[in-house]
Amino acid sequence: MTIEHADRFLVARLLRGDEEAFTEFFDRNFAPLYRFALPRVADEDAAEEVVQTTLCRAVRKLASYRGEAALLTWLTTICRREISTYFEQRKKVPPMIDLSDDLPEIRAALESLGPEGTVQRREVARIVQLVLDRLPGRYGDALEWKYIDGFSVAEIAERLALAPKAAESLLTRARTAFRDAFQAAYGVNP
Amino acid sequence: MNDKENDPIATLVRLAGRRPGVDAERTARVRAAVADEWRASVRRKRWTRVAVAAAIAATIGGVLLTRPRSEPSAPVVEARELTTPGDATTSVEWNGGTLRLDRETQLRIDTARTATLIRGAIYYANDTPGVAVTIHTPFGDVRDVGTRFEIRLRDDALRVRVRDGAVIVRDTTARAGTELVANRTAVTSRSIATSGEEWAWIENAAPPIVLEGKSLDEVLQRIAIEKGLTLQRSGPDQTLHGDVPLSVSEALDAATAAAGVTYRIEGDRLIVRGRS
Repeated sequence: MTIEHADRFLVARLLRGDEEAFTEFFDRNFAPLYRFALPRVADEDAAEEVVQTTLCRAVRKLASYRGEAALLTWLTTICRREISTYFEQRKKVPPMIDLSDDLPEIRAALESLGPEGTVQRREVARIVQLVLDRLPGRYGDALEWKYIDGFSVAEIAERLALAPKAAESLLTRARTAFRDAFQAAYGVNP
Repeated sequence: MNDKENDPIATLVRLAGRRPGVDAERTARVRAAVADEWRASVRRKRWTRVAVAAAIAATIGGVLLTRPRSEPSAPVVEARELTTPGDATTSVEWNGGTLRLDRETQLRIDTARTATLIRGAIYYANDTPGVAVTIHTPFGDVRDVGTRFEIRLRDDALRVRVRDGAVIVRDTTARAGTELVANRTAVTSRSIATSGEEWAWIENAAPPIVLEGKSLDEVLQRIAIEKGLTLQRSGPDQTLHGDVPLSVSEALDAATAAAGVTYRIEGDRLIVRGRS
């Protein structure tokens, strides 16, 4: 099943009132959306408000999700609009932040900075975390467990309720997805 | 997998460190608010569906339950209309078959076996041998002789597309894979595909599929029929589980994933194989 098919399937279950589907939907998307919103509103309470409004709006219009993009991408589009509305309503100016993950032209400018070593380490770290957030399913978690926590394949398999072979295969797919996404976001092969 | 110190992916992930979590209290607050909104939304949709289904059931029930005095096989009943809005399709059971209405369609049920298409498009899948229906239109009657067909009414003509079996329109018989267009003066026909984008609304309007207790073959056969495809399958059958109502495409994904088989659609064939 492709990512979009899996997301459509999840949305279909949500539309039918499946509580487990809601848990999966929230657990997968809340933290990445919050991390997306926080630097853009520069305030934790504001990020909470914006993400809550985003998710409430999304669950009301789930039937309009067509599976043409990943669910998180669709939610991020709604979140961007909510962030704009948040600042418009308060007649505030959004903080000046690097939106390299947001706009292709800024992403291109980042790429033009040159070799990896010339870009500050924290910028690389931020993009890596952003990429991990955007990976489908539990890929981001699996890579963190493997490379930061040092979990074995068997331990990751247990956490994901998978057979060790399936977990190993998931890690391989996660690495490929990370490589592709990082290259797209950063312009270089990791 | 390369997991050595010089693995660039491992190095990058370590360098970035763990993604910051969100405060548990904050997470719980948002979860509760969104869950409330979601449950309310599901309840609203459910009531809308119940209301629509009840209205349609009342109409069809009226048709089926009214007993005739003069025509035992085709009871005459008070005319009832089925109408779909611009953003929804629907399907109902009629004469043992499935009657689907596309968006912005108006159909009047005249008797238990006859109806009049006033505007829009319908699809009828007749699953009961020996029970024929007739659809009246301003451009002539469409008489089903055990089949699956679509009728679309335009301002200037009537279009009939036959997926399976045959129908008769003004003395012209259209068989599977044929499209007839009838205007005020003539009936023309041509060959068409029985699957593809033009039939998509019919699949979307299909009654949901529940896998629980059904065999893989049974589900795949139903999916193939809904998509207008011929099923090609090898391998053992098995019983499926799952009580969530699924659309046709969701059922295809879910059934094949659960059974550990793969599928592909080539032309008008749905090919299902065991994983190699």
